Amino acid sequence: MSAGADHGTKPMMDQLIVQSLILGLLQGGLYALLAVGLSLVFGILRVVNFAHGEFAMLGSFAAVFAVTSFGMPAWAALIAAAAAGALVALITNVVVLRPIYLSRMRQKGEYTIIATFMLSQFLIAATTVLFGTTYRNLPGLWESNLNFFDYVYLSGNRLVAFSAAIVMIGTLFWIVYRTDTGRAWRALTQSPLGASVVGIDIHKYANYAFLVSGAFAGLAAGLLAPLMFVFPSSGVVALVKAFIVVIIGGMGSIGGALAAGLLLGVVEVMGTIFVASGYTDAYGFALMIAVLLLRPAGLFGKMGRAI
Amino acid sequence: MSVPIEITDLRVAYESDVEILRGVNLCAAANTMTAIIGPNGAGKSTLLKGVAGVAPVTRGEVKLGERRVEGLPTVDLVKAGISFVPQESSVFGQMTVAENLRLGGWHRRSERDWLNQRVQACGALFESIRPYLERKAGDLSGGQQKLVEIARGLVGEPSLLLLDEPTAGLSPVMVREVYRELARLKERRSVTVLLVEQNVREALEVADRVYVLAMGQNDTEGTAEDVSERLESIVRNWMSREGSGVVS
Ligand SMILES: Nc1ncnc2c1ncn2[C@@H]1O[C@H](COP(=O)(O)OP(=O)(O)OP(=O)(O)O)[C@@H](O)[C@H]1O
Ligand SMILES: [Mg+2]
Repeated sequence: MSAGADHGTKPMMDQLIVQSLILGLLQGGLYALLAVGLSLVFGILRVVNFAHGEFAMLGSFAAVFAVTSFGMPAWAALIAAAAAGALVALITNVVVLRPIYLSRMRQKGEYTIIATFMLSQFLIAATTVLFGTTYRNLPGLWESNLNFFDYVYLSGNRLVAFSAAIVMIGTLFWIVYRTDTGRAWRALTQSPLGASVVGIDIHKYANYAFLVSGAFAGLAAGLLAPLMFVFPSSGVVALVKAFIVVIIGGMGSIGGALAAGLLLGVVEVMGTIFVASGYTDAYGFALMIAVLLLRPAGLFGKMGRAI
Repeated sequence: MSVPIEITDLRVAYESDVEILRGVNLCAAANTMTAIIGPNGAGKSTLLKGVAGVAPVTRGEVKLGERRVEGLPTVDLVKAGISFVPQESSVFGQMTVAENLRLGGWHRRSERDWLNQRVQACGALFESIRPYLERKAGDLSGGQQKLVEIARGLVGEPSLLLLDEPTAGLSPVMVREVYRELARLKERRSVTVLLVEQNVREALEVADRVYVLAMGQNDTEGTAEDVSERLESIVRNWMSREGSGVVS
């Protein structure tokens, strides 16, 4: 981002567009990774998980401690982030959510929103009490700046993070469309009653979905940590990004989350460079509002239900 | 491998604690077809849902052969040989008809050859859906989707089949296809069937015994011939009761 828009010549402008497009896509891949689990869980259980951002936050803390307290290498810290996210997500499902959807009360959906919101507040408070509000940093996997075609500048960390995100989302696609677990998830998404009468074990596959959801959120946060900071309320930003992605892409859609994540990244970077810097978060909201006004079911409409 | 079923004092309540099913008794020998009729809201669907584990049983007993099964999770009930085709749509709309059928054998999915053969056999059961096995189920007509659900319910070779208004909303041609298959099942003596029906006449033709439910309880019962003869007075009785609907 060293090139300024005020150089004015046509080729410079083109180069700036290419540079910001690439930066946007790299950022967007991480948004998609962050959001896709939220979407998966919503599709399968109709649970809007307000604690999703804290899965990410706790994942990044795990990564930081893996490096600073245990001296692990950066790649192992990422595994720690995914494992921590997955574990917290699994516990959330078993301890907080399952009692609600197993109960006979009405309006379970509303209760899950309240319960996950309270859990999110609790996790932020607990993390603050235990670890303080210090902004922490994490070393990346590839601390170098790369230069392509003379004018595209990228940090190695961003490239690694994007590649990991795309590989993970690709793996999720493979799981969803090629494995029994994926078939069970799709069945649960398309007809909970149908899934139940053919004998699909909702508890087992809900657990799997939470494991994936938490692992992806934790990993995304671990990959973002070298580019940003780690602190107890960082999950709030993560949740907002994930919600924007899920609303744009359609609740329950994995392909939608991927496309919407990339779109959000590009819109944020383009807005920051070409409109005005300092409003990065606002461009995402503007995009979301535009989508809600024009296509309330998400950009991918009916496809949104297909997971 | 069909089994007898014995239901004793079955009670079911949904979210609130109001019991919708208030002590129903029903007995069906192995390989028989039992029709369950009654006015709208009588609790026919609730009875099947209670047996299938889809609605919460609050009291009572369901014996499948010698085994008590009430309150078991649906996963175990399916493994025990119960197949439920609900009244509401339960098709997987974004999957093909063939994929829907394949999921009907979910509990035995590791037996590849058996499952392939079952999917093929059940895909061929109904002429109205046979040409559309590779179409998305959600793109078929409502009646065709119902046939997909019935076929899916047969894939797992159940020993107890629970059918909730399988012919509601079907064209006359499709209704005939369903009843032809029910007659075939009966002939093969491989499954016990509980059949909830609004098409009372058709149901009585294939049924061995008939149970009449009203207001969440047993109203009357008898052999198909017996109930056919008394049908008019039975229906008149429903209509005289408060809050009961009318039957076609
Ligand atoms: N999920 C539910 N939650 C609460 N009440 C329900 C639920 N499903 C059904 N009921 C109530 O239970 C009663 C019996 O419903 P049920 O569907 O068993 O009747 P039915 O005999 O199958 O009627 P129909 O012929 O219209 O299908 C009705 O009064 C209905 O309002
Ligand atoms: Mg009914």
